Amino acid sequence: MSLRRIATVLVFVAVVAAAVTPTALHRGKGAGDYVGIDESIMEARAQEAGREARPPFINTDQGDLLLFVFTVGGLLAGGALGYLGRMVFVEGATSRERTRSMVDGR
Amino acid sequence: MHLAEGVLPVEWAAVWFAPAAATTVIGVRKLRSKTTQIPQRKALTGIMGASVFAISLMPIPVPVAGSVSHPCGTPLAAIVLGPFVSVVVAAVSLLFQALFFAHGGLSTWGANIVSEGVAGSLVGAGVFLGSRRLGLSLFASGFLAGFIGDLSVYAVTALELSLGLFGVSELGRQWVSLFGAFLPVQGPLALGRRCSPVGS
Repeated sequence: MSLRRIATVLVFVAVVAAAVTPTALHRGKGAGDYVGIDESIMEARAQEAGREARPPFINTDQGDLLLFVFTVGGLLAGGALGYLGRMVFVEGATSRERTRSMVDGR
Repeated sequence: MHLAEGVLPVEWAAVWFAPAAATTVIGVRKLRSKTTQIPQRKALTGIMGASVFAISLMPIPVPVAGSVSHPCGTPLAAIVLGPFVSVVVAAVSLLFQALFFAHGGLSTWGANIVSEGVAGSLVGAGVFLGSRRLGLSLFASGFLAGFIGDLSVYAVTALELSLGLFGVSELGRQWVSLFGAFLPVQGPLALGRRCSPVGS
Protein backbone atom coordinates (compact mmCIF):
# COMPACT_ATOMS: atom_id res chain seq x y z
CA MET A 1 0.00 0.00 0.00
CA SER A 2 1.44 3.37 -1.01
CA LEU A 3 2.04 6.18 1.48
CA ARG A 4 -0.53 8.35 -0.30
CA ARG A 5 -3.21 5.68 0.02
CA ILE A 6 -2.42 5.22 3.73
CA ALA A 7 -2.69 9.01 4.23
CA THR A 8 -6.05 9.09 2.40
CA VAL A 9 -7.41 6.23 4.55
CA LEU A 10 -6.20 7.96 7.74
CA VAL A 11 -7.84 11.25 6.73
CA PHE A 12 -11.07 9.38 5.91
CA VAL A 13 -11.04 7.59 9.31
CA ALA A 14 -10.36 10.91 11.09
CA VAL A 15 -13.27 12.60 9.30
CA VAL A 16 -15.64 9.71 10.11
CA ALA A 17 -14.52 9.77 13.77
CA ALA A 18 -14.98 13.54 13.96
CA ALA A 19 -18.46 13.22 12.46
CA VAL A 20 -19.81 10.40 14.63
CA THR A 21 -18.15 11.10 18.01
CA PRO A 22 -20.45 14.01 18.98
CA THR A 23 -23.45 11.89 17.97
CA ALA A 24 -22.23 8.96 20.08
CA LEU A 25 -21.73 11.26 23.07
CA HIS A 26 -25.15 12.83 22.49
CA ARG A 27 -26.93 9.46 22.19
CA GLY A 28 -29.90 9.19 24.51
CA LYS A 29 -29.95 12.89 25.32
CA GLY A 30 -32.16 13.86 22.38
CA ALA A 31 -35.92 13.92 22.62
CA GLY A 32 -36.08 11.50 19.72
CA ASP A 33 -39.18 13.14 18.31
CA TYR A 34 -37.51 14.22 15.05
CA VAL A 35 -38.04 17.94 15.57
CA GLY A 36 -35.80 19.83 13.13
CA ILE A 37 -32.73 21.60 14.51
CA ASP A 38 -34.07 24.91 13.16
CA GLU A 39 -36.74 24.60 15.83
CA SER A 40 -35.14 22.45 18.53
CA ILE A 41 -31.86 24.38 18.70
CA MET A 42 -32.06 27.77 16.96
CA GLU A 43 -35.55 28.84 17.99
CA ALA A 44 -35.17 27.28 21.46
CA ARG A 45 -31.93 29.23 22.09
CA ALA A 46 -33.56 32.41 20.82
CA GLN A 47 -36.44 31.84 23.21
CA GLU A 48 -33.97 31.36 26.11
CA ALA A 49 -32.44 34.71 25.16
CA GLY A 50 -35.89 36.33 25.16
CA ARG A 51 -36.55 36.38 21.43
CA GLU A 52 -39.55 34.66 19.95
CA ALA A 53 -39.60 33.49 16.32
CA ARG A 54 -42.40 35.23 14.42
CA PRO A 55 -44.61 33.37 11.94
CA PRO A 56 -43.48 33.94 8.33
CA PHE A 57 -45.17 36.63 6.20
CA ILE A 58 -46.90 33.99 4.11
CA ASN A 59 -47.61 31.34 6.72
CA THR A 60 -47.85 27.98 4.97
CA ASP A 61 -47.02 26.11 8.20
CA GLN A 62 -50.67 25.32 8.93
CA GLY A 63 -51.94 21.75 9.01
CA ASP A 64 -51.21 19.88 5.79
CA LEU A 65 -50.74 23.10 3.80
CA LEU A 66 -46.95 22.85 4.21
CA LEU A 67 -47.06 19.26 2.94
CA PHE A 68 -48.88 20.49 -0.18
CA VAL A 69 -46.40 23.34 -0.72
CA PHE A 70 -43.43 20.95 -0.28
CA THR A 71 -44.92 18.53 -2.79
CA VAL A 72 -45.50 21.30 -5.35
CA GLY A 73 -41.97 22.65 -4.72
CA GLY A 74 -40.45 19.18 -5.12
CA LEU A 75 -42.37 18.60 -8.36
CA LEU A 76 -41.31 21.97 -9.81
CA ALA A 77 -37.66 21.44 -8.82
CA GLY A 78 -37.76 17.89 -10.26
CA GLY A 79 -39.33 19.16 -13.49
CA ALA A 80 -36.70 21.90 -13.83
CA LEU A 81 -33.91 19.40 -13.16
CA GLY A 82 -35.24 17.03 -15.84
CA TYR A 83 -35.86 19.75 -18.45
CA LEU A 84 -32.55 21.58 -17.96
CA GLY A 85 -30.63 18.33 -17.43
CA ARG A 86 -31.83 17.10 -20.82
CA MET A 87 -30.83 20.44 -22.36
CA VAL A 88 -27.27 20.20 -20.98
CA PHE A 89 -26.48 16.50 -20.88
CA VAL A 90 -28.50 15.09 -23.82
CA GLU A 91 -28.94 17.87 -26.37
CA GLY A 92 -25.62 19.45 -25.38
CA ALA A 93 -23.81 16.12 -25.82
CA THR A 94 -25.47 15.56 -29.22
CA SER A 95 -24.50 19.03 -30.42
CA ARG A 96 -20.90 18.56 -29.19
CA GLU A 97 -20.78 15.20 -31.02
CA ARG A 98 -22.11 16.84 -34.22
CA THR A 99 -19.51 19.62 -34.00
CA ARG A 100 -16.73 17.04 -33.46
CA SER A 101 -17.95 15.06 -36.53
CA MET A 102 -17.91 18.23 -38.67
CA VAL A 103 -14.40 19.09 -37.49
CA ASP A 104 -13.20 15.53 -38.18
CA GLY A 105 -14.83 15.71 -41.65
CA ARG A 106 -16.98 12.64 -40.99
CA MET B 1 -29.17 27.30 8.68
CA HIS B 2 -32.73 28.56 8.31
CA LEU B 3 -32.89 31.33 10.91
CA ALA B 4 -36.57 32.07 11.32
CA GLU B 5 -38.28 35.45 11.14
CA GLY B 6 -37.65 37.51 14.25
CA VAL B 7 -34.93 35.30 15.75
CA LEU B 8 -32.22 37.93 15.24
CA PRO B 9 -32.52 41.50 16.58
CA VAL B 10 -33.15 44.05 13.80
CA GLU B 11 -29.65 45.59 13.99
CA TRP B 12 -27.91 42.21 13.65
CA ALA B 13 -30.29 41.12 10.89
CA ALA B 14 -29.37 44.35 9.04
CA VAL B 15 -25.62 43.82 9.55
CA TRP B 16 -25.69 40.48 7.71
CA PHE B 17 -27.40 42.03 4.69
CA ALA B 18 -24.20 43.97 3.83
CA PRO B 19 -21.89 41.00 3.09
CA ALA B 20 -24.84 39.11 1.59
CA ALA B 21 -25.62 41.95 -0.84
CA ALA B 22 -21.95 42.50 -1.76
CA THR B 23 -21.30 38.83 -2.59
CA THR B 24 -24.61 38.47 -4.41
CA VAL B 25 -23.83 41.49 -6.64
CA ILE B 26 -20.38 40.00 -7.46
CA GLY B 27 -22.13 36.69 -8.20
CA VAL B 28 -24.69 38.29 -10.54
CA ARG B 29 -21.87 40.03 -12.47
CA LYS B 30 -19.90 36.80 -12.78
CA LEU B 31 -23.02 34.90 -13.84
CA ARG B 32 -23.75 37.50 -16.53
CA SER B 33 -20.23 37.40 -17.96
CA LYS B 34 -20.07 33.59 -17.86
CA THR B 35 -23.45 33.11 -19.57
CA THR B 36 -22.45 35.60 -22.28
CA GLN B 37 -19.33 33.53 -23.00
CA ILE B 38 -21.05 30.12 -22.77
CA PRO B 39 -24.88 30.29 -23.11
CA GLN B 40 -25.26 26.71 -21.82
CA ARG B 41 -24.07 27.94 -18.40
CA LYS B 42 -27.60 29.34 -17.93
CA ALA B 43 -29.09 25.85 -18.05
CA LEU B 44 -26.34 24.48 -15.79
CA THR B 45 -27.01 27.29 -13.29
CA GLY B 46 -30.70 26.38 -13.43
CA ILE B 47 -29.86 22.74 -12.69
CA MET B 48 -27.74 23.70 -9.70
CA GLY B 49 -30.41 26.18 -8.54
CA ALA B 50 -33.10 23.49 -8.56
CA SER B 51 -30.70 21.07 -6.83
CA VAL B 52 -29.71 23.51 -4.06
CA PHE B 53 -33.37 24.46 -3.56
CA ALA B 54 -34.46 20.81 -3.23
CA ILE B 55 -31.42 19.62 -1.22
CA SER B 56 -31.53 22.48 1.28
CA LEU B 57 -35.26 22.06 1.86
CA MET B 58 -35.11 18.29 2.31
CA PRO B 59 -35.45 17.29 5.97
CA ILE B 60 -33.18 14.30 6.57
CA PRO B 61 -33.70 12.32 9.79
CA VAL B 62 -30.68 11.35 11.89
CA PRO B 63 -32.05 8.42 13.96
CA VAL B 64 -29.13 8.24 16.44
CA ALA B 65 -29.69 11.87 17.41
CA GLY B 66 -33.48 11.69 17.11
CA SER B 67 -33.55 14.87 15.08
CA VAL B 68 -33.89 16.20 11.54
CA SER B 69 -31.77 18.65 9.59
CA HIS B 70 -31.15 20.02 6.12
CA PRO B 71 -28.00 19.53 4.06
CA CYS B 72 -26.94 22.64 2.13
CA GLY B 73 -25.90 21.88 -1.44
CA THR B 74 -23.88 25.05 -1.84
CA PRO B 75 -20.38 23.42 -1.73
CA LEU B 76 -21.41 21.28 -4.73
CA ALA B 77 -22.83 24.33 -6.54
CA ALA B 78 -19.62 26.25 -5.79
CA ILE B 79 -17.47 23.47 -7.29
CA VAL B 80 -19.61 23.32 -10.45
CA LEU B 81 -20.46 27.02 -10.96
CA GLY B 82 -17.87 28.92 -8.94
CA PRO B 83 -18.33 30.27 -5.39
CA PHE B 84 -19.90 33.64 -6.20
CA VAL B 85 -22.47 32.30 -8.67
CA SER B 86 -23.30 29.71 -6.02
CA VAL B 87 -24.12 32.58 -3.61
CA VAL B 88 -26.70 33.87 -6.12
CA VAL B 89 -28.20 30.39 -6.41
CA ALA B 90 -28.42 30.16 -2.60
CA ALA B 91 -29.96 33.64 -2.33
CA VAL B 92 -32.74 32.78 -4.79
CA SER B 93 -33.43 29.40 -3.09
CA LEU B 94 -33.52 31.00 0.36
CA LEU B 95 -35.91 33.72 -0.87
CA PHE B 96 -38.40 31.14 -2.18
CA GLN B 97 -38.02 29.07 1.00
CA ALA B 98 -38.66 32.12 3.19
CA LEU B 99 -41.65 33.27 1.13
CA PHE B 100 -43.55 30.04 0.52
CA PHE B 101 -42.05 27.20 2.57
CA ALA B 102 -41.98 28.65 6.11
CA HIS B 103 -38.21 28.06 6.23
CA GLY B 104 -36.07 31.07 7.13
CA GLY B 105 -37.42 34.60 6.98
CA LEU B 106 -37.25 37.82 5.02
CA SER B 107 -35.61 39.74 7.89
CA THR B 108 -33.05 36.93 8.33
CA TRP B 109 -32.53 36.45 4.58
CA GLY B 110 -29.16 38.25 4.71
CA ALA B 111 -27.90 36.14 7.61
CA ASN B 112 -29.07 32.94 5.90
CA ILE B 113 -27.35 33.95 2.63
CA VAL B 114 -24.10 34.55 4.55
CA SER B 115 -24.22 31.16 6.29
CA GLU B 116 -25.51 28.90 3.52
CA GLY B 117 -24.44 30.89 0.48
CA VAL B 118 -21.21 32.67 1.34
CA ALA B 119 -19.69 30.30 3.93
CA GLY B 120 -20.83 27.08 2.24
CA SER B 121 -19.69 28.22 -1.21
CA LEU B 122 -16.37 29.86 -0.32
CA VAL B 123 -15.28 27.17 2.13
CA GLY B 124 -16.46 24.37 -0.17
CA ALA B 125 -14.69 25.78 -3.23
CA GLY B 126 -11.58 26.66 -1.20
CA VAL B 127 -11.25 23.18 0.32
CA PHE B 128 -11.86 21.58 -3.09
CA LEU B 129 -9.17 23.64 -4.83
CA GLY B 130 -6.76 23.18 -1.92
CA SER B 131 -7.25 19.42 -1.87
CA ARG B 132 -6.74 19.17 -5.63
CA ARG B 133 -3.53 21.20 -5.32
CA LEU B 134 -2.36 18.79 -2.62
CA GLY B 135 -2.85 16.00 -5.14
CA LEU B 136 -5.97 14.39 -3.64
CA SER B 137 -8.28 12.57 -6.03
CA LEU B 138 -11.46 14.17 -7.41
CA PHE B 139 -13.62 12.02 -5.10
CA ALA B 140 -11.55 12.76 -1.98
CA SER B 141 -11.49 16.49 -2.78
CA GLY B 142 -15.26 16.57 -3.34
CA PHE B 143 -15.79 14.58 -0.14
CA LEU B 144 -13.70 16.95 1.96
CA ALA B 145 -15.16 20.07 0.31
CA GLY B 146 -18.72 18.91 0.96
CA PHE B 147 -18.03 17.75 4.52
CA ILE B 148 -16.15 20.84 5.67
CA GLY B 149 -18.37 23.19 3.62
CA ASP B 150 -21.50 21.72 5.20
CA LEU B 151 -20.11 22.11 8.73
CA SER B 152 -18.93 25.66 7.97
CA VAL B 153 -22.54 26.63 7.21
CA TYR B 154 -23.52 25.61 10.74
CA ALA B 155 -20.40 27.19 12.23
CA VAL B 156 -21.44 30.53 10.71
CA THR B 157 -25.08 30.02 11.76
CA ALA B 158 -23.82 29.49 15.33
CA LEU B 159 -21.77 32.70 15.01
CA GLU B 160 -24.79 34.67 13.78
CA LEU B 161 -26.99 33.37 16.58
CA SER B 162 -24.33 33.92 19.28
CA LEU B 163 -23.70 37.49 18.18
CA GLY B 164 -27.36 38.33 17.72
CA LEU B 165 -28.64 36.77 20.92
CA PHE B 166 -25.79 37.18 23.40
CA GLY B 167 -23.53 39.90 21.96
CA VAL B 168 -19.77 40.05 21.52
CA SER B 169 -18.93 39.59 25.22
CA GLU B 170 -20.21 35.99 25.38
CA LEU B 171 -19.34 35.10 21.80
CA GLY B 172 -16.78 32.32 22.42
CA ARG B 173 -18.76 30.39 25.03
CA GLN B 174 -22.08 30.67 23.19
CA TRP B 175 -20.56 29.74 19.84
CA VAL B 176 -19.00 26.58 21.27
CA SER B 177 -22.28 25.69 22.95
CA LEU B 178 -24.36 26.25 19.78
CA PHE B 179 -21.98 24.59 17.34
CA GLY B 180 -21.64 21.70 19.81
CA ALA B 181 -25.42 21.36 19.77
CA PHE B 182 -25.49 21.25 15.95
CA LEU B 183 -22.72 18.65 15.61
CA PRO B 184 -24.53 15.47 16.80
CA VAL B 185 -27.08 15.93 13.99
CA GLN B 186 -25.03 17.74 11.38
CA GLY B 187 -21.87 15.58 11.61
CA PRO B 188 -23.43 12.31 10.42
CA LEU B 189 -25.59 14.21 7.94
CA ALA B 190 -22.56 15.92 6.40
CA LEU B 191 -20.82 12.55 6.27
CA GLY B 192 -23.83 10.74 4.80
CA ARG B 193 -24.32 13.33 2.11
CA ARG B 194 -20.67 13.10 1.12
CA CYS B 195 -21.06 9.38 0.46
CA SER B 196 -24.04 9.87 -1.87
CA PRO B 197 -23.78 10.63 -5.61
CA VAL B 198 -25.32 14.08 -5.10
CA GLY B 199 -23.04 14.76 -2.13
CA SER B 200 -23.36 18.45 -1.54
